[in-house]
This record gives sequence, C-alpha cells and structure tokens, in this order.
Amino acid sequence: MIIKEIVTILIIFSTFLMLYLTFLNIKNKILNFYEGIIWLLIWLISLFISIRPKTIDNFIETKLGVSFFYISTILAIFSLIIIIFYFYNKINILEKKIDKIIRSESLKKIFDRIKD
Amino acid sequence: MFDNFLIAIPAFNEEKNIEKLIINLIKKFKHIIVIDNCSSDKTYEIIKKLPIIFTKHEFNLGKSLSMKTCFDYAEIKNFKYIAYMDADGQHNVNDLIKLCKKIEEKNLDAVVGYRNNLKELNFKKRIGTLILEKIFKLLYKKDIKDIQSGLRVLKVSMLEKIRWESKGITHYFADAEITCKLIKNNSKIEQLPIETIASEPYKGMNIIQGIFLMIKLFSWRLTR
Repeated sequence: MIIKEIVTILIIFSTFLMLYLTFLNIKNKILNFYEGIIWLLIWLISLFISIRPKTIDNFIETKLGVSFFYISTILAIFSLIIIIFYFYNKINILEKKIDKIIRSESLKKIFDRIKD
Repeated sequence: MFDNFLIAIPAFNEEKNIEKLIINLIKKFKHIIVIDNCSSDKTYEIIKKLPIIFTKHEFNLGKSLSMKTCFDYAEIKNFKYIAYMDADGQHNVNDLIKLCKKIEEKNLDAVVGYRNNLKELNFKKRIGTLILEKIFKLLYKKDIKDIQSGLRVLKVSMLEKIRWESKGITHYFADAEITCKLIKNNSKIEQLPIETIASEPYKGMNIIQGIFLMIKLFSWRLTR
C-alpha cells in the first residue's frame, strides 16, 4: 500500500511540475495559447488516469478478460517509445542541419573577407 | 617554410592565452586558422586583430565541430597537412615544428604528440591517461601513448578514413576518435614526445566522461 501512495505522490508532484513547465512555455511563447491548453489538458487527464486507473474500467468494459486499463497501459508505453524514437531522430536531423549551417556560415565569412 | 601546412586552432574563451600563442606561431608558420567557438570573452576581438585566418561559430558547437570546420577549410584550400593545437597555450611551438618535419620527411599519415611529463600531472589525470592507454592497447593492439593529445598533424587526404562523429556532450572525444580511426585504417602513424605547459587549472575530463570515453573506445572498435 505504501508503494501505491508513494507512486501517487510522485505522479502528483510530476504533474504539477509539468503543468508549471507548460505554463512557462506558454509565457515564453515557445508554445502558443492553444498548444498550451492542449498540453495542460493532457497533463490533467494523465493525472486523473494515474490516480484513479480503475475509473476507466467503469466506462469501458472489455470482453477479453483483462481490464481496459491494463491494455491501455501497454499501448501507452509502446506509443511513448515510438514517439521518443521519432523525436530523437528528428532532433538529431535538426542538430546536424544546424551544425552544417553554422559551420558553412563561418567558412563563408572567411571567403567573403578574402574577396573583399 | 611549411607552406603545405594549415595550423588549426579551435578556441573557446581563451582571451588570456590566444594572442601569445598566435604571435609565437606567426614567426614559424604562414597559414594559421583560428575558429572561435562562440566565446563569451574577448577571444574573437583579439584574433580579429592578428594576421591570421579567423572566423566564428555563431553558436557553441564544441571542439570537435570546430576541428571539422578547420578541416573543411584545409580541404577547400588544398592544404596537404593540417596541424591541430590547443588554444590554451599548453603546447610548445617547437614541438609542433618537430611534428610537421616528421610527417613530411617520412611521408606519414599522421604524427601525434604525447606528453612526456605525465609524472607532473595530478594523480587523477595521470591514472586516467594510463588506464585509457592500456584499454586502447587491448582493443586496438597498438601501443599509442596519450591517445587524446591535442597536438597532432594529419594528412588532409585522410579525412574520408577518419571522419569523426563526436559532438555535443562527447565533443572532447574527437582527438581520441581520430586516433582510433587512424589505427583502425592501418594509417602510417608515429608519435613524438612533447612538452605541456600548464597555464591554468586543468579543464579536461571528469571521471564520468573518462568512463564514457572507455565505452566509446569499444564502440569505435566495433564500428567503421
């Protein structure tokens, strides 16, 4: 039981941290208002599902002999790994492009100076 | 003298040492390039006033990519050799001359300097360097001292074989990665002892980075 409570506290703490970070991103205009609202909702829904996982089973019943929460957890973990992989690659590609631009710009400066 | 050589110096926040180093180098070398890696001090203002080739990365890309920019320049300008030197003034210009003469005389692919005064280093740095050397020998079957030495001369035509990938948090590993790739490609490589002048407190790797470098030594051995 204690473990369950610790996990709940951790989830609540993490959610509030993420809400705060999302709010900061909206304030610093990294996320626009609508994107910010969507992320805030995602955090709140995640918080609710994490604290009261069995509530979902009351809404959706499965005939597979396992709870909907179990299926959704597995799917969520798998989806998260796919998303992380996608963004990891995306960031790598962007990083390489930025590196290339900065390096070629710095070389261009040398050749421009030689021309002048 | 040394017309075929490009002396490449990646610099980051080296306002205290860079001018003295360049002044010493100008006396002996014709082609010197300094890449300022978005320093927050006056490094760029200082190098602008000196009769050298200079440029600046608009964002800090780390030592590794600054070295690559130098290499790109050497390739475009058809230099035969490129010599890397640290900007903190820890290397002696006379040692660089020795390395340059050696690579030219013996038509080598690379000459790497190794610190012969390891005993003067602090315990942590000395042990770290020795462990890395032993692991390197075990993996690559070659006795190379000081695999991370920042003072080295390379043949520009070697680029395709030694194209290094270290960057970001591993940007300090570029020197070690180049050494590994040189050995893996059976390059003609020799070493010469060099002096190091400690101008300021050691800024190198910590223990975590050292362990990470060991892991990288394994991965470079397994990959191309």
